[in-house]
Amino acid sequence: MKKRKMAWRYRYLYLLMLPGLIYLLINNYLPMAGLVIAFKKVNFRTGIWSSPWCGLENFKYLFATKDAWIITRNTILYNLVFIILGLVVSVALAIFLSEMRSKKMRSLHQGCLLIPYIISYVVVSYLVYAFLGSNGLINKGILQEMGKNSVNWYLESKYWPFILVFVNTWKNAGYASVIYLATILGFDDSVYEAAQLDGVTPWQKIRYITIPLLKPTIITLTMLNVGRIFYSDFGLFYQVPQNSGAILNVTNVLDTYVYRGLLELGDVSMSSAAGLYQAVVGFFVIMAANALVRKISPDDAII
Amino acid sequence: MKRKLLALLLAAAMTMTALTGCGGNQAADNGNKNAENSKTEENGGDTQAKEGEIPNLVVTYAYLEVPADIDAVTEKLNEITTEKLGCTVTFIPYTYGNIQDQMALTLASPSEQVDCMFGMFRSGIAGAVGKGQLKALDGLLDEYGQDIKATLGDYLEGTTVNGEVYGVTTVRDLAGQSAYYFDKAIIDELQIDLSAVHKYEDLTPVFAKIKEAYPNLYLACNSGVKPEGYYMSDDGIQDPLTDKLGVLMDSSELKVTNLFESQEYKDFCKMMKEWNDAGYVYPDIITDEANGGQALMKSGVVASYQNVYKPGALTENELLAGRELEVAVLGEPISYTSKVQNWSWVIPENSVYPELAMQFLNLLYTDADLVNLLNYGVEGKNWVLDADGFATDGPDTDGYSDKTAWKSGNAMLSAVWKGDEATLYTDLMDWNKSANKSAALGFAFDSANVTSEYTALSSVTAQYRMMIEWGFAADVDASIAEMNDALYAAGLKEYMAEKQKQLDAWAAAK
Repeated sequence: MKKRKMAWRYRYLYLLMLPGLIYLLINNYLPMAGLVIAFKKVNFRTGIWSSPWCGLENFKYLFATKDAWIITRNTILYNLVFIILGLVVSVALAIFLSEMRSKKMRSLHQGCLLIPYIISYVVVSYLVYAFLGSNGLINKGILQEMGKNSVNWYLESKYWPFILVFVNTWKNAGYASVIYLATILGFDDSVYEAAQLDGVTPWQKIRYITIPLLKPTIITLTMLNVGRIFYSDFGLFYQVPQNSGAILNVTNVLDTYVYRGLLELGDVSMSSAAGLYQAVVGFFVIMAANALVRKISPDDAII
Repeated sequence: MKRKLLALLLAAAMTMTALTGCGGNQAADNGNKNAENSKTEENGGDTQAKEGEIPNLVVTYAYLEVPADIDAVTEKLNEITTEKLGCTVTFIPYTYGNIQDQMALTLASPSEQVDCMFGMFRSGIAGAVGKGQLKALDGLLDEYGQDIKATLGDYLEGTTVNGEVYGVTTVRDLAGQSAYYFDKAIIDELQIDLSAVHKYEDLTPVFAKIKEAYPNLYLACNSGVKPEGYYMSDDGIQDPLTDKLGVLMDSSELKVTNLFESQEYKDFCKMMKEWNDAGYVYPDIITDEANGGQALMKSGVVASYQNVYKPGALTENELLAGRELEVAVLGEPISYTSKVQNWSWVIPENSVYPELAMQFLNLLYTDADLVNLLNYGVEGKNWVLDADGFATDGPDTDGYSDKTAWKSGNAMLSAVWKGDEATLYTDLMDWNKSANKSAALGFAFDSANVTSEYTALSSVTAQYRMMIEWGFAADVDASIAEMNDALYAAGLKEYMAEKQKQLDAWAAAK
C-alpha cells in the first residue's frame, strides 16, 4: 500500500524514466530471445524456431585449439592493463587540468586531449603506419639517420604489446579525464579553502582531498570497464596492426578471432555463441568485482 | 541575437527530423509493400502482385566502387525490364570491399526481399546452401532459363550442390592461370625476352636484370585485394579445393593431401625467400592493403606484378596500370570448382518473385542491351560504339568507371572494348575449353560439420602463410614445419578426412 503511494508520488519521475526504459527493453532485452540461435543449427528455409537444436556445438570453436588460450590471455591481459593504466593516466590528467588557473588554457588542453578520441581507428591505423611503415618516420627518419638497421615493425611481435597499450591510452585517456574533471570541478570549494587555511601542500591536497572524493566515480567507471573485460576494441586490434598475420600471437583477441573465422562462413549461430560467451563472462566478472568492492568499502558497491 | 540563432538552429533541427521522418516512412512503406507481395504469393500465388501494380524485383550487383551514374543506369535498366518482363527493378550496388558483409547480412535476414543476387562466394556456395539460404534452381532453369542452360552447358555442374543447381555463373574466365605483368618500356630498354618465361623460377634472372638497372624498383607483388596467402601453383595440375586446406596435388586423382607439406610448396617458399633477400619483394606487401600491383606500377614503385591471366587480361591491366605492359604467362590454365563458383548469380530464399528472377537472369544471357548496360553504362553517355563496332569512351566515361564484361552474364553478347581483339570473347571461350579440368570440378565442399576446425585453421594460416609465402620468414623450413604442427593441432587431419569423405560421396553419386 505504502509502496503504491510512493509510486504515485513520484509519478513524474517515473515518466521521465520511461523513454530510457523503453529503449532498454527494445534494444537490450527483446533481442535476448535471439540467444536461442546460439544453441541451434539455423536453417533459413525452416526458420529459426523450427531449426534443430545442437547443444553446445556452436561454442566448441571458441575452445577447440591452443589459440583459445592465447586469445583469452590477450583479451584479459590487455584489458587489465588498459583499465589500470587508463585510470592512472586519466585521473592524473583530470587533476592537472583542474589545477589550471586560466579557464581558457584548461579548455584548450581539454580539447587537445579529446581529439584522439574522436578520430576513427581506421585513421589512427594510418597514423601509426606513417610512423612504423618501412618508409615511415621511425625507420627512415630516425633509425636510418642514426645508422641503424630499420625494423620490420609489422612482423615483430615483441613490440606490439607496447604499441597497442600506447595507442589505446593516447586515444582514450582524454575522454575519461573529462568525466573525472567534471566531478572534480563539482567538489565543494569550501573544503579546499579550509585546507588552504590549514596550510596543506598541493600534493597533500590531491592525496587527502581530491582522490578520496573521486573514489565513487573511479569505482563506478572501473566497474563498467571491468564488465567489458572480455570485449575488445575491434579497431585497435584489427586495424592498427594492419591485420598482419606474423604478429597474431600478441594481437589476436576474441573479437578478431571470431571475425576472421566467421567472415567467410557467415555463421550467425557461432557469432551469437561468441557474444553470449562474452556477456556471461562479463556478468560474472562484474559481480565478482562488485563483491570485492563491497568487502573493501561497502558504501561504494553498485549492486 | 542569441535568441535568433537558437530559433534558427531549432528550425534547422526540426526540418532535419521532418526529412528523416519522411525517409523512414518511405522505407516502412516499401517494407509493407513487400510484406503484402509475399502475402499475395502465399495466398495461392495466382496473381503475383495486386492488380494495377507491377511487381518489383530487387537485384543486388557488385562494383569496385559504386558508379556516379548509378541512377541513370537503374532508370535504363527499368526501361528494359518493364518492356521485356513487365516488372520494375530496385538495383542495389554492393562494392567488393563490403560485399561479403552485405551478403551475410542479407542472407541472414529472411524478411528482406532480394530476388537476384550477384554474389561473391570465395569459399563456395555450399555453406549458404547448407543453411537453407538459397533456392534450388533446376525447375526454374527448365522453365525459364533455357538460354542459360544452352550458354553455360557443363559449367552449371560447377554450381551444383547435392545434385541440384543453386547458382548461375557468368561467362568469364572460368579457369585459373597466373602471369607476371611487366612495364613494357623497361622490358624494351633492357631487351629482355619474356617468351622464355614459363614458370616462376624463370622469372629470377629477369628480375635480377631489372633490379640491376633499376635498384629502386621492386618486382614481386600481386594485384588487388590482399589474399590470405600468396602461393599459386603454375603447373595447371593442382586443385586448391576452394580453401587450400587439403588439396588435390594432382587433380586427375581424387586424393586429398596437405599442400603445405608438399615439395612444390617448399620450393616455392624458398624461391620467395631468395627473391625477398635479393630485394625483389615489395617490402610493405603484407601491410599495404590499399594498393594493388596496378596502383603500385602507376605510382612507379614496382616494375612488375603478378595477376591472373586470361585472353584480354593485358588490355584490362594496361587500363588500370596506366601504361603499356608486357605479360609473361606462367604454366597452364586449369578449371576447378571455386573458379566457377567464385562469382555467381543466385536466387536467395528471401526472393518474392523467383520465377521473374529467373526470367531476369535469362535476359542477362540473351539481351545484348542489358549486358552492355551493366558492362559499360548508358550508351551514348558512358560509352559509344565506334565505326568499327568497338565500344569506346563516351562523353562521360568516368560516370561509369567500373567497365568490365565478366560480371553481367553472357559476355559473348557484349560489345568489345577498343584495343581488344574483335574475337575476344570467342578466344576466351576457347581458352576456357583448352584449360585442364580438375577431376573434382563440380565438387563443392561444405564445411558445416567442421566449422570449429575451419575457424581454428584459418587463424593458423592467417598467422603464417603471408609471412612464409612472401619470403619474410628467417628460416623457411622451420617456419613451414611450425605452421604444419599448428595446422595439425588445429584439426587439419579431421578437416581433410571430412573433405575426402564428401569428395568420395560426390564421386560415387556422379
